[in-house]
Amino acid sequence: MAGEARIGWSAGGLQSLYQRAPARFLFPEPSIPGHNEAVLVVTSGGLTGGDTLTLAARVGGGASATLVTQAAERFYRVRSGDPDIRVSTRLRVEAGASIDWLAQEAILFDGTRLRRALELDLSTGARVLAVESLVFGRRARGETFATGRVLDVIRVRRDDRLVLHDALAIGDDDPEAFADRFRLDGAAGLATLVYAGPDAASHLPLARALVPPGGGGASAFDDLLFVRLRDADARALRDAVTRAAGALREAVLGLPRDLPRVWAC
Amino acid sequence: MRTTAMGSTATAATMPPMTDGALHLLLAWASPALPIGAFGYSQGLEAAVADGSVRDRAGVRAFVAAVVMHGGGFVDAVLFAAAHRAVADPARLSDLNMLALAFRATAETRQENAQQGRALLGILLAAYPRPAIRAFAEAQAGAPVALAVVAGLAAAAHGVPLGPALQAFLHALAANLVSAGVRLVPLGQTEGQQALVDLFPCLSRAGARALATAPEDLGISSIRIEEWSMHHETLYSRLFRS
Repeated sequence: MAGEARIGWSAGGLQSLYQRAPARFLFPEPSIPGHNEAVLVVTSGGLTGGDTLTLAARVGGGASATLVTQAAERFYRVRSGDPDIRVSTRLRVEAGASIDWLAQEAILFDGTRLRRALELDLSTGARVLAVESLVFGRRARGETFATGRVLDVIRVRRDDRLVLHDALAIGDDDPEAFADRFRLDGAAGLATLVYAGPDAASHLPLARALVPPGGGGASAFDDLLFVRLRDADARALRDAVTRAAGALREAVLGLPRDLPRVWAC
Repeated sequence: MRTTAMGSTATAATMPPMTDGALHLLLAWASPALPIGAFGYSQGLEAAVADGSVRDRAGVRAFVAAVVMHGGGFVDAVLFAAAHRAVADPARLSDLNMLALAFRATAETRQENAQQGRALLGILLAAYPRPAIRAFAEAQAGAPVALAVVAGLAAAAHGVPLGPALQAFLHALAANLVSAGVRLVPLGQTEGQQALVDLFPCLSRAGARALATAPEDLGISSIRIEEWSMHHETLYSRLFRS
């Protein structure tokens, strides 16, 4: 399958919309005056070899928007010979506009092969909060992500200059990575939060305080705030992500600390 | 085992012979006397020692192995190779430079990369000039430059073959981190040499894998090392700048 969804917001609200199954948008009742919100739904229940999912959002005209995924995304075993799963998300944000991208976790099943890229294309003065996470198998059900490979990339461009290229390469016949105390150190999953905005550095103390002891870190550079969270328990990781995303969206975007309702279940 | 640790027979057979001139360049560039300020950076090792995660020679060896095989060292190895191959392609070099600068997710490792890149470029222009190096410097026009890209370009511009040049680059990186470990843990000087020798097979493997990895397939898994780099920012007392 090749799901695709594109959405655009401007000063007047929703400006453009395109969706192709199994990807589509839902629009919840607006809860914040003047703020746009959409929920991305992928109705296929999961992705496997050869599947692609392409998402693009554009925010301009001083608009603000929240884009959230409805549920965790499952990435199933890819048979040898089948192409890698490809997921691409591109957010273009103009000066004075903002978006928060709250993706629920990607669950990697054993034997999956995923190439995922989140591209943030920003004008100076644009603001974006992006949250993504990876979970290495459903350990509570005795499943692990022991074979396969994920290449998970976050790229931030500002006025056509690349300012961040974060790439995690995990798996690929490298099972030592999971237990290695200098690498994943037993993590059940990882989350990455990026805030891009002219005031990023001023929120570093908050970001540091949102990292649970021994479970990640935060740094700030080049008008970016970068937070990595890690936990040996997927549920605890999700709780830490929810807490950090809520506190950051409140601090940097002035949005409610409570994440959209789809995050609650 | 010591013979396999010291040698790299697999690559030696395929390497072109090096001239004395090329060997001297590599020895000079890999020397801790090269004044790019490398001794001031530990890539988070100082924080790993401070929280008790690294406390002996084995810990230093494992930390450096993770950097070189799966962390910023491996990223730099791939980009060094890419820059070496792009010596005649200024647009590609510019892209690689931007990628190498962006391929660091902590403030201190970004600073480490750009400061050493700037220092090395200055030394090359003054002491090891070549038209390709000058052209790159002019194209960047004072903007930040990444250490691995400058170093890979320099080796190619001087006709130093990629395989040995990459090993020398990785050796310098590992030796610098081991030296930081010797000061931080602390270890005896001889123990430091033992840790370094133990790393030679890692350097050989990392180099071989880097030569076969395209920048677009490149990623890290050294998550804890990245965390220590972040934690280093708030360490109360610091000998190192990263």
